[in-house]
Parts: sequence; structure tokens; C-alpha cells
Amino acid sequence: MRKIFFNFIVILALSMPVVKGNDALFQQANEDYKNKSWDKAIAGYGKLLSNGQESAAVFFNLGNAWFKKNDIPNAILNYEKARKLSPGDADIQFNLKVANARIVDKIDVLPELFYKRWWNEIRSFFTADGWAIASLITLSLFFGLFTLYLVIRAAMVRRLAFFASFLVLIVFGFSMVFSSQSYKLVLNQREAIVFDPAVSVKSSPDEASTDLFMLHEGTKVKILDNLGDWYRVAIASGSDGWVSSQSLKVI
Amino acid sequence: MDVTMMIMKILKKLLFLLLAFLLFLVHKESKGQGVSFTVNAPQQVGAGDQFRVVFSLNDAGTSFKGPSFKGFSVLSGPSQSTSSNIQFINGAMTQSVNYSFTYILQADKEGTYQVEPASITVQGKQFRTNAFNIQVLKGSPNRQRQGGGGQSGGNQGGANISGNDLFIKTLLSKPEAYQGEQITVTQKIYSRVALMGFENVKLPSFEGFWSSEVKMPEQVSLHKETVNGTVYNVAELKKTILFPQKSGTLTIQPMTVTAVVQVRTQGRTTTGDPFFDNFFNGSGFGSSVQNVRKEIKSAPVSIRVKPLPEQSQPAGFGGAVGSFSLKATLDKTEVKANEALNYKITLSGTGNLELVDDLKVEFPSDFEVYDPKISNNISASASGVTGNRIFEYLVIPRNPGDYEIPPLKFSYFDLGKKAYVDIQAAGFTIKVQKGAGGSTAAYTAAGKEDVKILGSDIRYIKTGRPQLRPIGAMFYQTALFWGLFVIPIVLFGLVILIWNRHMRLRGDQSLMKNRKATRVAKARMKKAAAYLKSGEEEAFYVEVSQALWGYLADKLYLPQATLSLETVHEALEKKGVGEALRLRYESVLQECEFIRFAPGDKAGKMEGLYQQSLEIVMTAEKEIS
Repeated sequence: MRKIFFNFIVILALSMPVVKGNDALFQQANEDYKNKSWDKAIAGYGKLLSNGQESAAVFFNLGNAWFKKNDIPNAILNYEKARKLSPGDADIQFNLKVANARIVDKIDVLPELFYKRWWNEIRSFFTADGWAIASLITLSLFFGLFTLYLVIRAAMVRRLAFFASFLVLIVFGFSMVFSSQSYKLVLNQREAIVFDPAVSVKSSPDEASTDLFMLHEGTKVKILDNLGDWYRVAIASGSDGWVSSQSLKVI
Repeated sequence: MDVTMMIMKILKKLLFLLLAFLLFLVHKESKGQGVSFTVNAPQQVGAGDQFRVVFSLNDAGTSFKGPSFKGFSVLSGPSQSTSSNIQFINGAMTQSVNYSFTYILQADKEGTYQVEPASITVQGKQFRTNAFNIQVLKGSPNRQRQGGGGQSGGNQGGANISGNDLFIKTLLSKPEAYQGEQITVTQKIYSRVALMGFENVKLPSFEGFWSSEVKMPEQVSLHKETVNGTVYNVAELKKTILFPQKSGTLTIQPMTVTAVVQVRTQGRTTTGDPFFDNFFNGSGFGSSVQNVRKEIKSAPVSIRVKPLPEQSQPAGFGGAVGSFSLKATLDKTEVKANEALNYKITLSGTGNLELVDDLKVEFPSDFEVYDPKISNNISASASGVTGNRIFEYLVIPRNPGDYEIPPLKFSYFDLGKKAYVDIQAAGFTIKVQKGAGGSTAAYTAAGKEDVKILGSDIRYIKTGRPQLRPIGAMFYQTALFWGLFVIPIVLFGLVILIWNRHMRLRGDQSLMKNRKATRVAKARMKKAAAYLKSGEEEAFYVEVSQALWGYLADKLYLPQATLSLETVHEALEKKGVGEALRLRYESVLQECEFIRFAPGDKAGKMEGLYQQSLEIVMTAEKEIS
């Protein structure tokens, strides 16, 4: 464990100078965006990504550049990527909504039960890592407050410390649950954007099988399964079918 | 007007009556005429030729007895036929009834043969023909004449038109065919009589067939054909191309035609000399020529229709039989969204072209496809149905992208190879570009209803620090995460550990002191009592003072150094000790200190202080726990 920890530190340290250069790259791409040279901006953000660096801001800005180029599927793909890194960001959500209004498919989203929706909304405040950090902080806070409760003799302080620690403990519990859920979502729930202008969803992973329905570029699908060159996808309305992997780009 | 109409009607009726009367008269007259029983036969025939011998009677007769025709073979006969004839010649009317008995004979050998007389009984009286000779010549020197002489024979036969003189034959191009294979059906009329024309041509209904009529020339051309050695004038009436629609034995129903035939009556102009008769008839002198209508019917014909082989029948087979070729054209392969395309398929060849309806063109599902416009350029001729059938599809791609119209496949049954043949037309790749002015978005807006934020723009990019990190780096569930997780737990464990030890330490000392407080106080009081007896004032006061202070210090967990009246007061107050006890304890302490350090009689007050101190410690023991 110590070795792993050490490695992590080393990687972090090694990436530091690269990060410096990448920051400059980011600023340069932003400058290109400002000058309305979308292609250059896209290339700049793409360079960052090919350097192995990512952040919600990079994907968001890249999405904006694609949007300005009127390439909606690419815009949506990058907004979705940005949202995955920063689920609670209002700007990302807004732009994603604007971009989604421009795609062909209008899919009726199945309504979720209110508590499930609330739960998901709260969860989307942070990423898995965000919740992991939150759980660390709350755990530390809990111990601090409990120590205070033990040590301090003043009854008022002790009582306050006790309740505060209790609350913090609950928050810690939720943070742990959220972080593990988000983590599983990131690992297991893969989504993709349709990139072909029009693609027919088949009943089985076979070109000759029946067309079930049509999807158009920019539509987000959930990947349920894959078989060779085919993805089994589901759309928000609940329908599912098989699509050639060439028609999709995984978020 | 009415008057003239009336007169006309009356005149017509009168005329009719007159006619009837005249007829009656004629009939009477004819009855009166003499009976003639004659024979008509050629004088010379070729060996192997067929010819006819006709016995004619101008009255109804019974018990006809024909000759034995030695030296000839009788092919058929005697066949009896009757005809009646009414003629008006220059106002004079004649009516004749004619009974004829016809033999068809064949000359076997050369030579001259005598034909015996025939006999018939008319009204109880027997009539006989004359015996006559027929010379059979070598070969067939006058066969041509004989054929042409059908005409003369017909003339001699008069109104006597038998089934052998005039009939319709239904001819098939093949006796059996595959389902969907084309068959040419020809209806021919064979005649040995003077045909004037046709009426009421009733074509059969070709049940179980799909038919296509072959256009015939306006002018019916006659040609000669020999059937069973007899030469006929033959005309093609109808030619139809049939496509059997089901397998099994199908029957072509008979065709009926009313033929108009020119016949010569056996009137008084008959001289018995064919040449003379011919001359008069041919030159139009002979008013004995008459048009007779005769309904003739063809025999039903059956066709055996074989089913197409079930085996190896392609999935897309639509029943096309023949030989075909397929061509597909597309007017353009690059187009903007919402612009129309023309996809044209030309199916050409021989066979049941017109029955090909459904071409299975696989257009991309995103295309709007309209029903095809089908045009035919098909001609049915004697050799069959050939031509082409053109399907024109109007197609509108609605969304940009690359699309493919796969090669169109078409299967037919090739009759030559007796197998199914697959043919293919070219496939196309269509590049659909975005329509002018972002038509996709426009289309979207039209297609969707509740688009709310179409007019607004996206929010501006993020400009601060990008907070970059390696792609895919996850903090959760890494070693670092668990490491950081362990730290507070370990720390907290340590805190608890230290705290426990501290508690134990501190808890033991105070508890000990607390527990010992009364004992210590009592021991000191005992010592004090001893000093009281021995009169050692100084020591006594020290002991009492220490007992009182020490007790409080132990009980109240106060360190010895901080002991003072104020701290004690405070501590007692905090402990919630009663006001009375507190004041007393304090006063005892004050007194003790006062007596100890103040000059004067100390001994006298020793006893009282001792008692008071002992009392207060006992009470405090109860109150302070």
C-alpha cells in the first residue's frame, strides 16, 4: 500500500510540469474560441485531451466550439463528458439542454418517482470523487467533534459537539453511499451519442434483421450490452435494440 | 306526321300479310312440281384423292339407300342435310327445299369405276338416280384444281354446309406449359365454302389465364392448308397470348362465330353443268346466290399447366416467368436534404412482364418514398409478349448523411434453363448534404412541438483554471483514498486510548482521595483530640485546620495550593452544598484560622472548636458526596 501511495505521489509530481504547459494550452484554446476560430480551438482542446489531461472545463469548452461549428452530436458528446466530470455544473446542464433542443429525435423520458429523482439530484451534486472527499472530511469532522465531546467539560459545548458529531456521521454515511453509487455508475453505466445522421435500430445484431425504430444524430442512448460490432442500446423512453458500433460514440 | 306513320305501319302489315300469302301459294306450287333426285360427283379424280358424292332431292324422302361404292373407300357418310331457299326473281318467287346425302370417298386405285344408283322413297314412290362412272387417274393431276374446286364443290353442295366444310380450330403453341409461361393461342377458321364474313364473334373467357391479345391485321388474309388431305381456305381469327395463373389442367372454352356463307341454291338456274353454273354465279347473273348464317363453335382445348418447382424457389420470387433483364438508374447521387431523387427501374424481356407489380426496393428507412409510377412499353406479337416495364420512384431524403440503395434483386423462372435465375440491378450510394440554411434544424423545429429555448444561445466557455487531471484518474477506492480514510480512524483511536488512560489515572487519584477524605479528617481530629488533652495548642490548631482544609480539598478535587476561602466557597457553591452548611463550614474555618493566628487565650476555645469541627465534617460527609 505504501508503494502504491508512493507511486501516486510520483505520478502526481511528474505530471506537475505537464499541467503547467497544459494550462497554457487551455488558455490558448480559449483565446482561439474568443476569436471565433472554432477549428483552432477544437484542435487546442483536443491536444489537451491527447496529452492525457481532462477536466469538465475542457470538455465544456470543446462542446461549445463544436456547437458553434453547428456540429450538434459532437457538442452533445462533449457536454455529456463534461457533465460526467462535474455533474452539478449549471452551465453544462444549460448548454446541454440547448444542444438537445436541436436534435431530431424527441424522446419522451420516462418519469421517475419523486424520491428517486431527488436522490439522483442530490447525488449529482458531486462526482464519485467529490463524494469520496466529502466522506473523508465528514469522517474527520465526526472524530473531531466526538473528541471535543469527550474532552470538553462544559455541558453546553459537550451537548452541541455531540449533536453536531451525530449529524456529521449521518452526512458521512450518505457520502459513502453516494460515492459508491456514482462510482458504479461511472464504471457500469455507459452511454453513447448517435453520430450517424440517421441510423436504424435493429431487432438483433444483424444487418438483415428488422428495423425497430430510427435514431438520428445527437441522441443519447444507454449501452446495455455489446456483441462484436454491435451495441444493444436503450433510449430514454425505454425502447431498446441493436445498433452498429460505428454509428455511436461512447461518452 | 302521325298520319304518315300510321299509313306506314298499315302498309307494313299489309306487305307482311301479302308475303305470307305468297309464300303459301309458292309452297302449294312447289308441291305440285316434279320430284328430282340427282347425284353430283366428279367425273375424274386422282388416286388417293378425297372427293364427295352428293345425292340431292328436292322433296322430303324416306328410306334412302346409297350405293356400295365399289373401288372406293367411304370415309364418311351418308350425312344428311336440309336447306330451303326462297328466291324472288323479277317479281316471281321460287322456293326450293333441298335434301342432300353426302358421302366422302377416297379413290384407292386407278381405273374406271361404276357407281350404282341410289334410291329414295318420296310419298310412297321410289326414285332412283342414274348409275355413273368415275375415272380414277394416276397421281393427283388436278389436286390443285380439286383444292380450288372446293369452291366448285361448295357450289355444287349448295346450302348444304357440313361441319367438314366450315369449322374453327383452337391451336396452341404448346400442349403443356409452366405456370406463367406464355402460350400462343390461335383460333383459325377452316372453310371450303365461300365465306363472306363473320358476325357475333364470341371470344372465350380465358379462365385461369392472364391474357394479352395480339393485334391482327385489319384485312384477314386467307391461305390454303391441307387437313386430312382436304385443302381448306384458312383465316386466322384471333391470336391471344395466355399466361396460365395456376397449375393443373386448364380448358380454353369454345369460341363461337356466326359465319356468313354465300351459297348457291338448287334453283332453276341449275343446269348440272358446273362450268355454266360457275359462269353465271361468278358474273353475278345468278340471282340464286344467297348469304346464309351459320353458327360455328370450336371444340374446347385443354392445356396441362405444370407448377413451377417449389425447390430452390428464391425468397423474393414474384411469379415472373420468361427471360428478363433489369436496369436501375438514379438521376443524381449527391443531393441536398429535402430534395427529390428519381430512381428508375427498367425491367425488360419476354414473359409475363405486366404481372410484375411489386419490386422489393429497399430504400433507407429515413427516405420518404412515394408509390412508383409504372409505365409499360409492351407489345404482344405472335412470338410472345416482349417489351419493358418502367418503375419510377420519387424519393426524398430527409436527413443528411450517406445512404445506400442496395442492388435490386429480381428472380424469375427461366424457361430455357428450367431453373430460377437471379438478376441484379446496380446499387447506389447517395450522399445527402445538409439542406440550405441548416434545414435539419428547421425540420427539427417543425417536427417537435415543445422546443422552448431554441432562440437562446449557449453559455460562454469556462475561462478560469482548467483544473486538469489525468484522464480517467479516480480518487475513490484508490490506495490514497483508503489511506486517507484510515488516518482519522487511527487518530481517533489514539485519542480514545489517551483519553481512557488519562481518565483512569485521574479517576483513581480523586476517587482515592475522596474515599480517604473522611478517614484522613477523622485521624487528624483524633490527633487533635490528643493535643487537646496534652494542651499543645499550636499542634492542635494545625491538625484541626489541616483536617478541615484537607477534607474539602479531597472531596472537592481541589489542589492544596489553590485552597483559599474564595475557592472553597466557589467549589461548594458549584457542588450545590446547602447555604447553612456552607456558612457554618466557612465560619468554622475562619474561626480556626482566627484563633490560630490571633493572640489571646487559645486554650479555652480548643474544646469548642474541636466539637464544632467534628460536627461540621460529619455533616459535610453527608451532604458532599
